[in-house]
Amino acid sequence: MTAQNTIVVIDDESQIRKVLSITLEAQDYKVIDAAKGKDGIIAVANYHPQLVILDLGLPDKDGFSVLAEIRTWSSVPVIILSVRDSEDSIVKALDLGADDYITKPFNTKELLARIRANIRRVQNVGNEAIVENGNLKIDFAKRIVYKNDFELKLTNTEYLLLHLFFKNLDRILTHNFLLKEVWGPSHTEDTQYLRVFIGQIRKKIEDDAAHPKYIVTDSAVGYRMLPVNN
Amino acid sequence: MKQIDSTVKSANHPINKNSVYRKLSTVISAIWHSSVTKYSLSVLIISVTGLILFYLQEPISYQAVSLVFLFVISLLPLLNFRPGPIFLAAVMSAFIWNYYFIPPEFTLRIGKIEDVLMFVMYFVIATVSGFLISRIRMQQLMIKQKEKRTAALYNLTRNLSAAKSLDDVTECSIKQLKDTFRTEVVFIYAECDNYLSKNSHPLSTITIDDGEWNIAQMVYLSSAKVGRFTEAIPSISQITYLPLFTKDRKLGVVGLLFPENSFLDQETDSLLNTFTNQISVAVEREYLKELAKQNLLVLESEKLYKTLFDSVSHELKTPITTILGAVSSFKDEKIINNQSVFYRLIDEANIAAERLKRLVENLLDITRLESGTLRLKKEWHSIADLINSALYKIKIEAVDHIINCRIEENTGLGNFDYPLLEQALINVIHNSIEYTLPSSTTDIRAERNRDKITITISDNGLGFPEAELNNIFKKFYRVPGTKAGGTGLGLSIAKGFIEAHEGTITAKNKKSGGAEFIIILPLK
Repeated sequence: MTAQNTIVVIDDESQIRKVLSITLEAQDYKVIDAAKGKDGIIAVANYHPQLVILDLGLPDKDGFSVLAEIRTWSSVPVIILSVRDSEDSIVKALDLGADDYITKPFNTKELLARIRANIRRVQNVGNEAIVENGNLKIDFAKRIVYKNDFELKLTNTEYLLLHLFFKNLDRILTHNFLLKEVWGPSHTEDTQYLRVFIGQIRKKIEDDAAHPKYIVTDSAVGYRMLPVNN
Repeated sequence: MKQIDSTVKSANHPINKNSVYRKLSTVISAIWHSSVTKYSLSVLIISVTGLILFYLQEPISYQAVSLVFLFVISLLPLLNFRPGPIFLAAVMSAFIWNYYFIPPEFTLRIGKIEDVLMFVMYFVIATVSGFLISRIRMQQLMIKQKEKRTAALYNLTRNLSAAKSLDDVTECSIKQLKDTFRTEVVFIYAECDNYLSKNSHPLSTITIDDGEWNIAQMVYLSSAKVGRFTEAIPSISQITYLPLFTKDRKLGVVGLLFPENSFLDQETDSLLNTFTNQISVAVEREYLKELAKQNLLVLESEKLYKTLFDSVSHELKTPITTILGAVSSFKDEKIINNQSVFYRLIDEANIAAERLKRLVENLLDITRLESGTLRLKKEWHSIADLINSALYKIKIEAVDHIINCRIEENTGLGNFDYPLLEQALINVIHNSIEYTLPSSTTDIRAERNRDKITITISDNGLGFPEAELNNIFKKFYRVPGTKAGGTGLGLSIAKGFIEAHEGTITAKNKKSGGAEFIIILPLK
């Protein structure tokens, strides 16, 4: 049970909470804000929001531990909003179960797009047998990927990777996550595997592999499959 | 390398009466100790004794003469005579006794058989007792010398272990070396790896020139002694250079200038080695201490840098985030068409810009204070104006707070730098409203006592934790656990500006709760 259009904002800076409230309320979201990690956790528990925006630097407890605590009982989408734009803390937050991140200073348009994408993705998690994205189409039952309705010749690993991207459309997937899912927990450091396979997949699915529009690299954090409109 | 005789300057040791006496006494002692003197002295003593006895012969028998000779010989070891001269004295006295005293006189022949017996016994007793006594005496002297060395070493180690700095170590090393070996001393420490410092330690009693420095550098690199009394090129210098080193590192060189006609026996040499070993250990200890201190300093400054960087970058990014967030949302149709939302966002952007401006001003102010380029532009202004303009400037931020201001009429005028004191007041008032809840009250009072203006700014918030009262004026210091926002600069700038006017600012907690700042300005 989630409250429609409710977003919990956990940030210690009152000004940022204010701007976010004004902007989000103008988009017809209901905003509950909290300055402290503890209050934020209580708000998430009480209001069952559709989405949580979480700052990593909080006065009472670390944003990471707030995230970890929420994740023990809720799968609500969490967007990390932080001045800590170092890749390490972003990867750490994503591996702890955050769904997306955005660094301060942020662009409102981008933030709104991320919020919409994450809410949509959660709503769409069904057991659809076939998912389409641009010219691509995946048939989970038959384990086949089509491009312009032609079947692509894929190795098993390539298919597994594409399967993950289609299941998590428009969501950032960390190197760590992809390696663990496809190669197993003992290979989480072998990012060179990923580069090789992502390169091969791009050659097969992209029109121009040098300028990918489906699978994009998100700095040094991971990869994201963008939704593409025809 | 050339011979350097004249280059050794006794710079710290000009020739004076004292040194003349010392020179004289060394010459005398050298003569006294030389063996030729001793041999001639023993000949002289025996001859004189013989002569006296010869003239006194009448009242004494010739047997008693032998006893007197024995007595004199047994006294010789007490004058530090070695076995050689004593033996000579024994032989000579036996001969004199026989020749002049034993009848028949003036012949070497001895008439009576008991006289022959007595002569042989006299000779044996004189030699043996002379030898024995001189041996005991020598042993005594050696023990005394050993004792002296042990005492010197003990003194050195005790003083070295009490030394607190490299200067202390050098000072007591020089003193002990001078006292024990009667030398002039120069210490040269390593400056960096592989090089000695170009300057000898300032406490050294002699200075050295470049040529000598090169020798010292060679000693430092090779860790082997060079110079006078050493096996390696003793002719190269008047000074004996000894390396200071431990198992792990080379530390420096000590140069010793012995008196000209001294010699270095094996015992003294080994004592000297023990000395340098002890000194090396002490120097290394000081070196390591210094290293540890430096490491700590680096660590501290890194910590400060990190705090500064974290707080400033957070403070810069937050208002920029607000401004960008607000401005970038103006492209959104829903927002641009909703007038109230639009104006609220503009307000927020405005406040953020003010905050950014204050941060930049604070950073500039603290830089001005730190760099010492602060010049006061004093003019006559009304105190009431000062407080009112500060309140006006802080109005936007204080909308949620109640501010009571009471300015006594007698405050009048003061001679001060208006913008600086205004900024100081703004910072203190800002601190009060920033760290109290909305609708808290801030009281401002100003009054004059003779030529002192007292401005009190108090609030009814939580006050400061007692333990933090001493820290709040420190640069970049923020009370742990306070809310986000702020660099910890405001109060330290206020203090700096007020102190530039020879005023004071103190903070305390009121009995009724809340913080109170008292600013006292001596305004003429």
